[in-house]
Amino acid sequence: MRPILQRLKEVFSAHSYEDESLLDEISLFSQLSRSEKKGFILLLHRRNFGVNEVIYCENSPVSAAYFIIQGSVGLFKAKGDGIQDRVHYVSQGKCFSSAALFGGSSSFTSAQALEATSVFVLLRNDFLTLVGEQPGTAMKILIAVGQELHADWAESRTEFLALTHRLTNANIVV
Amino acid sequence: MRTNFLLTLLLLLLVLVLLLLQYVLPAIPFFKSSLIIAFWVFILCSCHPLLARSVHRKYLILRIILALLLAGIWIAIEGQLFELLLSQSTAEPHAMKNGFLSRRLSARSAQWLEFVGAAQSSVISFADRIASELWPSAGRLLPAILIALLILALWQALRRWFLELIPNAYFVFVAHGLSESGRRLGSYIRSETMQASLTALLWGGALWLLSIPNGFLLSVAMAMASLIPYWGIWFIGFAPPFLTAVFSGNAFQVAALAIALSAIWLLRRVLFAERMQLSRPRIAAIGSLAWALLGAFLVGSSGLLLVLPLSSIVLIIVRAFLQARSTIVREVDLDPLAHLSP
Repeated sequence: MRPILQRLKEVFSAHSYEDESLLDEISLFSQLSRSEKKGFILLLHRRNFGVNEVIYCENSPVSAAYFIIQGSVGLFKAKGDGIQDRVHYVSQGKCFSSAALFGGSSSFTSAQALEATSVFVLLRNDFLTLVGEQPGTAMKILIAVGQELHADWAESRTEFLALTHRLTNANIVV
Repeated sequence: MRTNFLLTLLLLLLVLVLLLLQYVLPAIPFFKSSLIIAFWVFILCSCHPLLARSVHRKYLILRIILALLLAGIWIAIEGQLFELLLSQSTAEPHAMKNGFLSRRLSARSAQWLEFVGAAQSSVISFADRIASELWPSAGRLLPAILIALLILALWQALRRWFLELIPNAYFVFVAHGLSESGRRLGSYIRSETMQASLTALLWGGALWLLSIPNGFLLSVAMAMASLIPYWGIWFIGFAPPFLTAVFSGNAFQVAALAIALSAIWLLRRVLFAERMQLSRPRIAAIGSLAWALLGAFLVGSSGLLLVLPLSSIVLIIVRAFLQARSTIVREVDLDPLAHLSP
């Protein structure tokens, strides 16, 4: 009886309890309260991508942010001669294409699933709706994404400085 | 906007003049009726968005000239119509002994009074027709309301289910299109509901205060007609002052109705113009009239009222998806895997 009632409740609230529990596994949303998560989950769409499946292309308009539930994603940047380099590796629980939340126009990289990957998609329009209706929740998400971006930047900067230091020690001038 | 206020002042002045004329020249209904019609046409020409688009003074003068021209045409037609009615009249007027002018006026009054009854019955039959076309029976109406409520309650769930069926390559496009069309439709429906409710409420109040029969029915019709851009409000708003002018010839009532309609129209513009401009899909004025007439021709009176709101909804959805199209074209047509070397 209880599963039927729960299913009916899911149908009428357009809300999946499974998705809500998955939301707990993403550290970005750890600051959200239970009620905020219930509201926020309604805006997320769960999508599954196969191995090497393209999620979006380089220079395509940024219209959604992606949060990885399971699997991993590579971000690629085209070089000359049609060759593409992987510039970033995004693991489970992380976010990519977050420029959609900050008003970015087109993506600098393409994204491709490196394994069977499951993501939550947050459309920019839906996020703007959230900003209007629940600014507190939107602010928490922005802060969390901003912190993640800052951590990524700090890590990249540290790696870059270490690399520069090693190159200097090896007397290699780039 | 300043021109509109100037026009309102002019209208008030005209009302005073008309009232004065009504007392000075009470025995000449032809003159009175023609003046009322001229007055009404002037209001129509001054306040209609197509004619009152510019605030330049020379256009105001042109509008007045146009109003007078239209009034002249009406007076000529009305005179011909009266002659025709008089020639067809078989009833001997009561005031034959009072000379030619009295006889003529009495015959005219008798003839118009006959038409008042006919017009009232035709208004009621028109209302019945609208009601029967829009709501064929309570038996059908109730399930329709229930289905609509169920769809509304399940809308989010239906949207999610539908999106789950969409392949990954088209997901962002469809989700973006649905989201955008939903947002635009919501804005359109909210804006139209607010302006239609306010218009109907004010118009119903004005009709009730002025003791116009079937005021509630006319205000409901006004609410529906106000959904038609450019022309809708005038379809229904024109009827009560026009019928009052033609059949009862009460200048005060006509002027009050005309002023009430103009005031409602102006208030509606002030409160909702920006909102409606943003939410309504752009349809050319002539195009909207053509659509409304086509709807009336194909479906009848309900088509006249419903074709433009329905086509607006379709346009909103189509335009939202066209806007979202650029996203999917770039995502699907480009293939970054061709030379991929991870």
